[in-house]
Amino acid sequence: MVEKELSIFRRYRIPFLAVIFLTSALLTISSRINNVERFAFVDWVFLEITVPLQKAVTYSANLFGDLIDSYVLLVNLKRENVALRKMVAELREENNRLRERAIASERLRNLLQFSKEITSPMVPVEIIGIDPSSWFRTIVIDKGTTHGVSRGMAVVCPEGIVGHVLHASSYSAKVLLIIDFNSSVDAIIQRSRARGLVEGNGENLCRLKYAPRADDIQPGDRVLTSGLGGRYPKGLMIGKIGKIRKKSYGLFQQAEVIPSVNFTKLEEVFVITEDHARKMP
Amino acid sequence: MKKNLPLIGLIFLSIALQTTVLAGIPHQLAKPDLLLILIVFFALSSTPLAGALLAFLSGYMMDIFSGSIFGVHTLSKTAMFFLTILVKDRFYVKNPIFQVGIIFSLSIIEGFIIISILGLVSPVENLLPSFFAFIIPKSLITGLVGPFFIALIKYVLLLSGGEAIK
Repeated sequence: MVEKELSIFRRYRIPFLAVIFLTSALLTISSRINNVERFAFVDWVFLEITVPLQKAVTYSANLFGDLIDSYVLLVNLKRENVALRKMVAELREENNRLRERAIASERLRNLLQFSKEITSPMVPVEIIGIDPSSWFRTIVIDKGTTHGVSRGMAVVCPEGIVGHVLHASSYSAKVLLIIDFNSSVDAIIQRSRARGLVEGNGENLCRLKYAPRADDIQPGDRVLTSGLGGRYPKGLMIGKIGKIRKKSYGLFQQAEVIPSVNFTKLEEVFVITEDHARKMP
Repeated sequence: MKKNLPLIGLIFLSIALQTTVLAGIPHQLAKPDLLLILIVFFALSSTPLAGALLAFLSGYMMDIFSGSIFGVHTLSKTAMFFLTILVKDRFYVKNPIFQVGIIFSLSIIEGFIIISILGLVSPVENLLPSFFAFIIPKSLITGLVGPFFIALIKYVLLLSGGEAIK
């Protein structure tokens, strides 16, 4: 009898495994779907293991890129030009270094100026990873709970708001960008004080929703955080109004929002470590 | 278990590559899905139980680094593993040309699964155009990179003292 049952199991082993694993995957979705901010211990462990690997890969990639730039392109040079080429390469290298230093200095000056303008306490962080999928817009930063970063905190840069911390482990945190379709920010139009909700559209744009039809919204209007919702401080730049979609019926109008932050060129950002929700009356 | 440790290491390395070097490729350009290729490799070279566990882990890792609907990649990657198991005996999948075709098809199916789940969970207007804008180029590049990545995995495993994989 047992032999027969074992034989059936062996025969249907793959369908049996498929049912178990696919059900487990479905259970994973259903257990997290209503609690998107839950961060299990096992997630924390995997994240902690991967972060040093990410740093190593980034470092190696940069090193490899430098090697290609510095050596591989020079392989076919004639012997008599070696000395001159070396000098040119050195000067170029120095020039690049100085230029890079100047750009970094300018960037850091802007960040310093920005950190003086914002009264809330902030932690400067670097981006060490970007969302691998095409569907979501998240980044991984190099500071976590050890540095005072925790879930829900706002992430900003001199150009405007970037997103908020979705999960934080000891030495890293995952940030949901405002362009992710799961993100929403309470917003206000600077010129007309019209209100609405800015949601991501999954690409590099956002959409202003739930703005009453009668409110005055024009292309080019600056969109700022309203301070409501408690996550972002009031008055931070979100972006500018692009196309407006106003149908002939309905209570609300919609508009495209072009974020002021260029998400493809983000390097350093700030996490506002103050809990604005607690400050709300 | 010991035999599968290098494969677990490969998952971590692939996710690190996917989130750093490949994520640096501009948004408009297609990027290969290394984890999908890895799953095809698991289906070709591991036992069904070990391969399923590794595929589940790969999807789970992808979810940790990905957006907020947790489990989408766990489900899609596990499903892709069993789909590969299903087709591997019907086609000569060790042939690189077949590998390109199978990885391309799997990537399309996976995209469709993800799009369906996203559509069910949180209906978003621009998901369908994304299918053509992202999935087809991504599937094509994943398919083309697939045989090379599989050959590289075999070589790395051989160097790390693992058994030669047929």
